[in-house]
Amino acid sequence: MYITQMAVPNHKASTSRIKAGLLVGLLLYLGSNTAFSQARQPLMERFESNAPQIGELLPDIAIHDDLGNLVNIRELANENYKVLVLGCLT
Amino acid sequence: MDYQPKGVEFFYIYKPLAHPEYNNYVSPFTIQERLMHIMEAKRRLGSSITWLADTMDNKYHKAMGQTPNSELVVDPDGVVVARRAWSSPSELRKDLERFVGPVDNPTKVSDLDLPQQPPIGTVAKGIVERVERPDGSLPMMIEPIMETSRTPFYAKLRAEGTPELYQTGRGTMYIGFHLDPLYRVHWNNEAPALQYEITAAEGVTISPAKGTGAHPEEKADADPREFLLEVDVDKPGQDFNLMVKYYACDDALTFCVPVKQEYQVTLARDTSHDWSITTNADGTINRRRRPGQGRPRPLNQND
Repeated sequence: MYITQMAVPNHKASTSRIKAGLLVGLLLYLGSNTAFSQARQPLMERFESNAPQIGELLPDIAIHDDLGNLVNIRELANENYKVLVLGCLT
Repeated sequence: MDYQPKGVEFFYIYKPLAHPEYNNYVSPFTIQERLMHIMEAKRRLGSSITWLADTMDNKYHKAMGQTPNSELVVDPDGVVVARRAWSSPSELRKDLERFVGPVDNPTKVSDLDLPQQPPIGTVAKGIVERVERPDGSLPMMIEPIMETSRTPFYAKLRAEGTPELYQTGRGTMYIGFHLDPLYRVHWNNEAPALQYEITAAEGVTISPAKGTGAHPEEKADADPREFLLEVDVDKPGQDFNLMVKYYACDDALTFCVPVKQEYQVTLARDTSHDWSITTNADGTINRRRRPGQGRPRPLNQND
């Protein structure tokens, strides 16, 4: 009897489980995205109000090259387009 | 890579750690240590991009609104022509196509085959039980006192406070001494355990003001030495002195030296770091033990 039950899968139950799984997955995805967006909101606002706007010059700031020398970011690759990205190990 | 032949220069600017402790990395205290992080990033990522380091007072990071991964495109006159709070490779590619033209065969990430290396290994972790930080703990302002230390800060203080502590002056403070993996050191448990002592002005009550760290039977480990303290001050934003003594021993077993170091800690939020994380022994994020879950439980504290 046990073997028979195992050998004949209940397609209706399987389909329901798949549907339920997909629904849970969708809800988790939407939930995490909403939480992620909410966590990023203050960050976006800080960037909007502090970072230079389009059409403005880079701020007049000196930072270090990888040898520790100070370089003004306005003087980096002066003849070219440049891309500046913030990052760290974590 | 695709746009370098078109004259575009890429710079990665190293900023304060967004989530200290991830992969066991701890926040650098000096520009030399921040440059060591850059060396480590180059080693791990295998990238040939030009790295720069923000100043230790984080001028560039502040100018970008303390965002962790913002991105600017700047024209040859130094004028910002594209900006976003969070770097997006696909959007950046569209920007560059607009400014300098498309490339014939765009490189995919899978084409790069960068030789990524694992984080720095260390002696055993997971020996000493971690302290669970209270709900919503956020980084606190600390200033290592360099003048009184004759050695690098092999173990680095990380201090955090609850929102109520920052708002009212009363609440729970976390202090943890995390070994800096870049120095490749460990706790030698055959030597005396780490001790801390707090000296505060009148009106600042922190308890316990003295403590001794875990001292497991295992001969060596690299787990942080952590404490939860109760704070009660007249008004938020006051500071105090924290002294710590420990033995620093390198993994190559070439030295084991007594260290005494001091910090000035200010009971105020350090906004240069993002939210806190707790990691597993291997440095990956422990998603089951987010800060604050469970009851605060100090370890090995002495009155």
